[in-house]
Amino acid sequence: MYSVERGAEMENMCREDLMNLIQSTNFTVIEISMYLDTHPECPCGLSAYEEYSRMLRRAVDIYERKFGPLTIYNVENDGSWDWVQSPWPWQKGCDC
Amino acid sequence: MEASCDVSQFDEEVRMDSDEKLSAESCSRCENTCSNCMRPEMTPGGLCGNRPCGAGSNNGPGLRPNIRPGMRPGGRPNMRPGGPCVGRPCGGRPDIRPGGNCGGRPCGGRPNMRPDGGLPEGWRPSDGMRSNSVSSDMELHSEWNCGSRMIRDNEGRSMKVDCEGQTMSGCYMNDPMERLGDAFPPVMAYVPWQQWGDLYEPECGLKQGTIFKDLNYVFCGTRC
Amino acid sequence: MWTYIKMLEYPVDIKTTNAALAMAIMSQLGGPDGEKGAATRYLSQRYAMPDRRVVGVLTDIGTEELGHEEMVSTIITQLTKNLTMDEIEKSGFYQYYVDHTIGIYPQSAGGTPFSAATLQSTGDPIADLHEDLAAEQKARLTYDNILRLCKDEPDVYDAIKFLRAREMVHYQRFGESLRIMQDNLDSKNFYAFNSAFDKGSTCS
Repeated sequence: MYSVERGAEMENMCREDLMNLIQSTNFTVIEISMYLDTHPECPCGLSAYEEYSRMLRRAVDIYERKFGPLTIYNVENDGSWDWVQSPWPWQKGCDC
Repeated sequence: MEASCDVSQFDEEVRMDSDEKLSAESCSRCENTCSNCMRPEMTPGGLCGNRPCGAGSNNGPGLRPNIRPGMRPGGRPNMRPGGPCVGRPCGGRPDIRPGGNCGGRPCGGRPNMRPDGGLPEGWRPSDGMRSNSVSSDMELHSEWNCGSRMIRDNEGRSMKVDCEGQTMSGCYMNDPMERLGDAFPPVMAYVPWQQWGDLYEPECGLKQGTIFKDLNYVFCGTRC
Repeated sequence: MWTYIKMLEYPVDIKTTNAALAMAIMSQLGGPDGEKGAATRYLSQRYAMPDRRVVGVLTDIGTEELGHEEMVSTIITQLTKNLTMDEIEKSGFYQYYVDHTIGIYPQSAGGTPFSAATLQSTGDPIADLHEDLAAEQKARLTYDNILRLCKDEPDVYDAIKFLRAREMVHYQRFGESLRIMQDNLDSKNFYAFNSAFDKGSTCS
């Protein structure tokens, strides 16, 4: 669950840990969204959505500021187009 | 309704049907006014905002709304994420029941069966195909597909008989879905509404492929 | 409109090559019950779906399937990226290699190119949702079959297990979507008319 302490913790995370946090929180938000599609009035689902989507926004903000853009809408350029500077998601493990 | 392609007339009929259903079954569960339901759309089922967590609007009378212990509508959710990060246990091979063979004679194979199956004197088939009878047996059995049906007499008494008109006994079980009355007509598939339940922590949920403990069915198959 | 997020839905990090496994897993990209077919099916069916909630389900699941395409493509790329010529020649992969080298091409494990002939968009909400329920089951069992093949490859097993679990969640959502559509129909005769096409009904 998101809390102020967790927010401070995020600030100090390395790239990989923060990406793991984003992936698991993003997944939680996806799950709850899909649940809400068929249960749009469920107070539990709505409440969980609020909590996790807030946590996700916070984590993504920190990640993009420190490690580079995740979407084309938050690219902070420093003389060149940062969107294409970081590796693509499949370029891992096998040294692709 | 007469043959017609009059859109407004058709919409009106759909809307009225749905409003009746909502006022009878759904809206009684909430404090909200159901002004949204009056919208002439084809989507009346839950617009009035009173399908609480996971409850279908087709619930029959007497079903409690889907509120779990510790969960208050509008309040903090009963989330309690946590616990071991595992799916449903694998278990052994299931006990294979003899399909539909419940010791009685199978339906449909008997020669010279009259359509009414020789009902007792003064009894006739009940309207509709299902009963509202409540089975105390909550287990899911395959034996209830023996063709049972409700019959009634002129004084309104009803009873359950098998497909040959014989009184039900022994291992004939009621289909648990019968308890929901007319909510589940035949020739249609039904998946139960998911009810809000325990969640995995996000990290565990990602690992499991779902955050909902109720939906986590792991694969356990092996073959030499 | 869609927005790309520069990350995988689930981390995929495979360090050892396995050409035969790559050939099998390829079916879940472009095979008869693969992710490309799933995304195409759900995103195409949206336009005839009369209920906004069900369109939401089709949109969100269809979008997730696009993410699964990327995951499956990543698995295949990482399983084949560092193959030697010897490994290519000795595995069944050489047939794929001739046409596609180690590029990603959507086809079944047997080599049949991806085809929309494996899916339907009927314009009938009840039929479409039954198709979707069946599609999730078929994808689930394909992942079951792949899981039996990759027990010794924990990195692959992990990602396939995740994808398999998603099929069951999607099944549940499509089942609930079917319940929503039933609410919009006359339960005395679910088949009296097509709610996405007919303007009236001759049923009294």
